[in-house]
Amino acid sequence: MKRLATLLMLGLLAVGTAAPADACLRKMPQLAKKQQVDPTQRDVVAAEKALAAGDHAKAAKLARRAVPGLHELPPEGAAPLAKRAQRALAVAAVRSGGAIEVAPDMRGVTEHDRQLNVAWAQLVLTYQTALEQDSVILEVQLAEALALSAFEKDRARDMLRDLSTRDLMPTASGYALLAKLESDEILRDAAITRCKDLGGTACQA
Amino acid sequence: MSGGRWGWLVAIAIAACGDPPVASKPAPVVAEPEVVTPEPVPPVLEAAAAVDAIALGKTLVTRHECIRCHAIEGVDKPKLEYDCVGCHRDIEAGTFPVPPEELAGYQERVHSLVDVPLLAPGGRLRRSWIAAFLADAHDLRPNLEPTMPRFALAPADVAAIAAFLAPDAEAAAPVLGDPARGREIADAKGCGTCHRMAGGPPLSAAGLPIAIDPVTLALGQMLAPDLSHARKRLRSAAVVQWLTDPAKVMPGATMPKIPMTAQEILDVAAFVVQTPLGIVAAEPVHARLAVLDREVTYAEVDTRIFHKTCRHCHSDPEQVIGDGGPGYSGGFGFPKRALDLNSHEGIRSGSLDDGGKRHSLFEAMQDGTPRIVAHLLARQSEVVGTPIVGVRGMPLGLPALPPEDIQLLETWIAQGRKPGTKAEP
Repeated sequence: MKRLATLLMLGLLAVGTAAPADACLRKMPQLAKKQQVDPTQRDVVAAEKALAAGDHAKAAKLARRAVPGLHELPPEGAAPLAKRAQRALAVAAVRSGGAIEVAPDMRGVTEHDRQLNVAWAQLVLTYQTALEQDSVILEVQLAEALALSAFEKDRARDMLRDLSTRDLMPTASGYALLAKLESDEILRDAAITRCKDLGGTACQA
Repeated sequence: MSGGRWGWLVAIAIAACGDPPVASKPAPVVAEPEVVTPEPVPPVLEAAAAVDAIALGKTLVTRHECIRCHAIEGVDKPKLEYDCVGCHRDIEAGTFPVPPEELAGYQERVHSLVDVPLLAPGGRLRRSWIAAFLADAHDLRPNLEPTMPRFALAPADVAAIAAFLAPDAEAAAPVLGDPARGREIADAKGCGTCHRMAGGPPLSAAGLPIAIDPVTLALGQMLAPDLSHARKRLRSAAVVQWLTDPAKVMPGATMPKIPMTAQEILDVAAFVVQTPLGIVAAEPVHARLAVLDREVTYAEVDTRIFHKTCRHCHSDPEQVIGDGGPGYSGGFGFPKRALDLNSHEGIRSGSLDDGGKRHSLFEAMQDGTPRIVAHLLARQSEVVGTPIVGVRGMPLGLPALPPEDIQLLETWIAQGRKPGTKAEP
């Protein structure tokens, strides 16, 4: 446990030294100098790309490498990159059904491990959503996580239905998930159509 | 004098000026010059502002992020990531510490918000004008592309900022001279080299009596205010002081000291604040273009609009690892909007209203126009002096998007706001 705590501290220190950018996306001098070699930022961005490409294992590996000890990191007060890394890891856990390595002792090999990983991901995404209630993208990711639990499916559907009704669904995958959860045939067909309009590749209900 | 003759005179005067280096806005059209505006000389001199209001105003110029653009005497500069003009100047000067190829890219794109008027608290500006301007900003400097943003400041905050920027009691002005003689002197001294007076007579650009290096002259032409605003904007005594020696009133002033006798200064001051002004006809707003027949991708819209302009103030701070800009995190009196125009997902996520409720950027306004388009069209109206009540023009304080860009966005929306050719997993 002491070793874990040390790793966590090192991870936080690494993230804490990342230089800030600015509103115009013009990189700050320090960041500009460090960006080419900043392993934390490089790995977080690569993890998000791997996640978008459907390579969950790679996404998890990169996220864990970017910020060690992610599975124990409380999102509150965490650096933006650490939160992004943790979110990437959590979403990878959800999309793989828990079959990724979240931590050395959370390898996702047995069914119990996978359930544990999914439960951890649900907790992380619930926590992050509570901290950032303004993020629609996070809300969709939480719905994705909740949909894995039989008793939370209705809640997930309602969240996505609300976003769809208000024309706030940010991704095709959100519509795809809604199509899977939707019981109303008309709304389901509409979700499939919107998913396809947005270029989604897995839009069937 | 007939409108036609006035038009010719204006045209000749503009032609005589040649091509100003930064003139980007069309000259206002003078219509019905025989209709004269009432003399707007304030009946009483402004008293000194309350000490607590001045102190509050000083904190508010930082809180409301005025210092993103303006250097204000006596107020700390912002951190570099909030210093829009500071960064832009470093980029223009080539001192922004990034690799040369990156710097070249920035220099290609960054043109706005490099030269912004200094602000020096004192007795030059009328407090009443500052308050009115902050509450309903309009174009003041015809050749400067950006304008003061139209804020959402509370009236009490406006009053406090005005108190901070114009804290002193107004000094009694000397008896001004002869406006007719002042006009002759203004023409002889070449005031029209930099200035114009909307609704007033055209000013001659010939005969500037001093040598000014081209760079300083170009800067002066860009920052020169339209003199028709001077009577409301400046205290009369300050007009005289300013004409006598601008740098003495405000160190670093762009306006040069023009050699004039004391009487000539009083005459020119009279001309500036007393010349009857005709009503200036509003310029027509650009016609809205019909949607295109061809396919428009998100990538194209992003390159031309979102990436080029919008994201600088509207980005998710977590994604840019720093400041998301006033259009995301709040600023200039606006609450947090959580509007991310830096990604397709962000754009589809909408923005928060004043009450914190999220709305789609594409929801239809009363006339059916998508909300995001309505804001862009509103800016076109703002820049010609006809702001639309209830719809803030965007980009805030910057030139309106050309009709072709808005057409592109409208087409993309009409075609289903697709993310592009790259399929989303």
